[in-house]
Amino acid sequence: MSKLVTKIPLLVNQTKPVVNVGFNRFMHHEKGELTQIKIPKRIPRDKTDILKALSSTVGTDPTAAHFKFIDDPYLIPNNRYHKLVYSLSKESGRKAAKYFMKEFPQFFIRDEAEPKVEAFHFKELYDESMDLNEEDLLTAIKNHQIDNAITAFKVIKAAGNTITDATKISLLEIVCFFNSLEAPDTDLREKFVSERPADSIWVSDFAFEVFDSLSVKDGRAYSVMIAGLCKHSAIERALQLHDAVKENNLSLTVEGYNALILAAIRGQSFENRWSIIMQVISEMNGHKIPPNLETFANIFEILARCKSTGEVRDKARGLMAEMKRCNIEPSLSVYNNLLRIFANGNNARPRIIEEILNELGNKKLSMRHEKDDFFFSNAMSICNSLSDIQLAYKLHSLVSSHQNYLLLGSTEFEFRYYNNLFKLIVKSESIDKTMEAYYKFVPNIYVPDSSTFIELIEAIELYQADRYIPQVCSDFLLLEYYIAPENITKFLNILSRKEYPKEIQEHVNNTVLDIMRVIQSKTSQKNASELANFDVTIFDNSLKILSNNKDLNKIRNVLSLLRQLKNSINGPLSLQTMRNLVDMAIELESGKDIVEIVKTTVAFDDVSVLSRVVHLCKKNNASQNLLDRLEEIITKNGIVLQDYSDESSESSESSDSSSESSDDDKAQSGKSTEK
Amino acid sequence: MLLNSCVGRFVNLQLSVCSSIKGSLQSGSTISWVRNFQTTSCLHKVVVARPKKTKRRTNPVTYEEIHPPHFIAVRKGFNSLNTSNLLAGTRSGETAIEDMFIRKFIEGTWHRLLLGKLIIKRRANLIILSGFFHQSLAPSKFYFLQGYTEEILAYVLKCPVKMEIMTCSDRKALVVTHV
Repeated sequence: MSKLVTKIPLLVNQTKPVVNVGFNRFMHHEKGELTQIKIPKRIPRDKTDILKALSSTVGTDPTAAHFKFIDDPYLIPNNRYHKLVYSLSKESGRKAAKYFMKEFPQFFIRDEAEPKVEAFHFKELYDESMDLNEEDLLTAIKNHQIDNAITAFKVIKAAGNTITDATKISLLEIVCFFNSLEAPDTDLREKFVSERPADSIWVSDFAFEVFDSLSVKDGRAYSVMIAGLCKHSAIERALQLHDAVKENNLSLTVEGYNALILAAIRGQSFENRWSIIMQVISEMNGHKIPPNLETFANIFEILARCKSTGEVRDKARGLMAEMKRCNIEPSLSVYNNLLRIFANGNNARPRIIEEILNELGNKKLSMRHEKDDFFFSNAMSICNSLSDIQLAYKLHSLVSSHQNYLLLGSTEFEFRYYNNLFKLIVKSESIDKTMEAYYKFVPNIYVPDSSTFIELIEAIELYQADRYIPQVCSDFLLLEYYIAPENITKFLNILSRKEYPKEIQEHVNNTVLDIMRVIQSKTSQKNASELANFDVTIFDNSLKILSNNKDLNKIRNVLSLLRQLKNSINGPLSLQTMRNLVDMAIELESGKDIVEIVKTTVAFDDVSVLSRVVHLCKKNNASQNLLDRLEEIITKNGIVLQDYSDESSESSESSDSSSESSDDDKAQSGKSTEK
Repeated sequence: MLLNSCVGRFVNLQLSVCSSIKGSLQSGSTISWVRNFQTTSCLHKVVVARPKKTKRRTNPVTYEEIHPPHFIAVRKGFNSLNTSNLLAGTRSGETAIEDMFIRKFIEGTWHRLLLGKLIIKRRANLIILSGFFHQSLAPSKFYFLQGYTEEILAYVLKCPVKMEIMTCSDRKALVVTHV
């Protein structure tokens, strides 16, 4: 029982669990010491606290795909591209549905829900002819319906009715924040996945209309206007308003001052920017407005965007101390800017990251500033450039505790974080540790990019960890690295370097054949001729790999593919490989394969291999059948044979001994091909 | 489709009969006339929801189809799981009609993709649709249709709708025998 209690931390804020209090009482009673029953104070609970407590007993399952994907092998995405496309497809479906509901509202009138469910209400559109009052305006503001709010405001004004200043200010807030445009749909994140939102341009003249209609223009109204103008890059007009504020000797709210601090980016040099910031701060001091986290975050943002000099660093250090004195805990975005300031350039103090991580420990973090999600990926890339694996582990333990991974940010940032971590692991850990991490992360949490994957295979090759080769081979196909021909080239190049034990070699050979199939299907597609251009080393290396365990069937497949794709292959065939193949075919006495190899080399305008074959066959008294077929090829293509008598004297000697005894077999194999 | 509606109707009726009997059982003296007096319509229990037999046994049937309705909750489950037909349940008629609407919608939207029957589960205000679908579409289109279906049905039925999709490369994967 007590085990269960400790596992389910229902009592987060309490030192002793309630259940134990009960047991203690019982035990005391047995001993005969009756003590007072202490009824613990009631702890206020949220509606979801029990669910949270239950979920905290279950860790994340790294082998499962993300919740947004359908849990089916066919539908689980295997690479980064698919992850993006699938989530965008789902959003696109949602959009299509919304389009139909908007375009054909007459088909969706039925609403039997009683009481009505507001979330599934269709948005009511306000009209100039409607009789609207302040109540309607407030509902529109509450539901973030900007166009309705604007219509309502205009209708009420036209009717000559008055609106209270409080309503006007809340209208002003929403209009300035969204720039008088319709609020973006929070369900659809497509825009934010594919591209960063561009700087918006101020188009909200309606905001000025509302502002002018205010009976008393106080500091709050000015602050809202200034913040909105700065947010939508209309700094000049914001400064005009600021001048008016100074003339009337009003005090802005802290949000207004924060916006003015961020507007200091208009200064050209660091000195200019700093003097603007200092002006704003002295004004804040004058009006006794205390700074908040955003104030400091904005100053750090400006500092990080200046050239990183000693002076900037001094100021940053001073600001951190100032923040401590103001009892404001820095958010991740502040730390991120600190990293940008200090780790910029080569000889800076990159150890700042160590100090930050010590400061953070394994704290539970939350989103406190809009740019908090930049920190983790940035910090990990610094760990990678420092090549400090211990630091990276420390950072990762911070990320994996308390659901801090939710702050990793968009898919792009998440990928960058894991890519840097994994690159570092490949670089500095033993191969077993690396593969442990690989099994944990790939493919559901993260799919390595092609260069990292190649690095991984090279590490496996370096440590001679052949046991991992089959896994890597099947992942090469599963994660679709074959999309780019240069990946195939690099992959086969590494695999062809040595001969693996028999079972693993079998696996490698099958992979090679699968890759060949992919190449074939790629080239057979329509309009693919320009896209599909393969380096000859792909085929060269696959022949080399396949000849490792003398797999003549598969070699024949590759050779026929070579002839088929003659026009989309760059570069000449490597003669050495072809010669080795010929030697192997002669050794195995397969006339069929000799003809096949010769055909391929002739197709690639190479005569030397043919000359060599004819020479060797004549020397070894090959069957008449085989010689006839070679002759046929020679006459068909009008080839003049090279003189081969002196060059191949050494190699022929070696093959002599084996071939003499088996001349009959060779003749048979020659005949069998005829049949 | 006809078959399916028969199953649904039968289940509803069977449950309602059960509940009425259960209600009357509480007063023991009424049992005798309950047994002898039939107020419900004829159920045609022998022929209803049986797949049509062919001469050369060419009609493919799934495990779900081959078992007649009285095996529900014995050898097979319900196709619609909800509490509206239980004692003191509400909205039984509306639920049945909505389920039919969902089935028709899925049949049209996921045309020729649904293998077997759609399972409709209602859990609190959530509707969960699950079924086997054929892999003749690209995965991204599955995601598109999922998003589309969830959004439209949620709006029409005024409650959150979720799809749980399983796929299968063989169109005849669910066929157990031919009759």
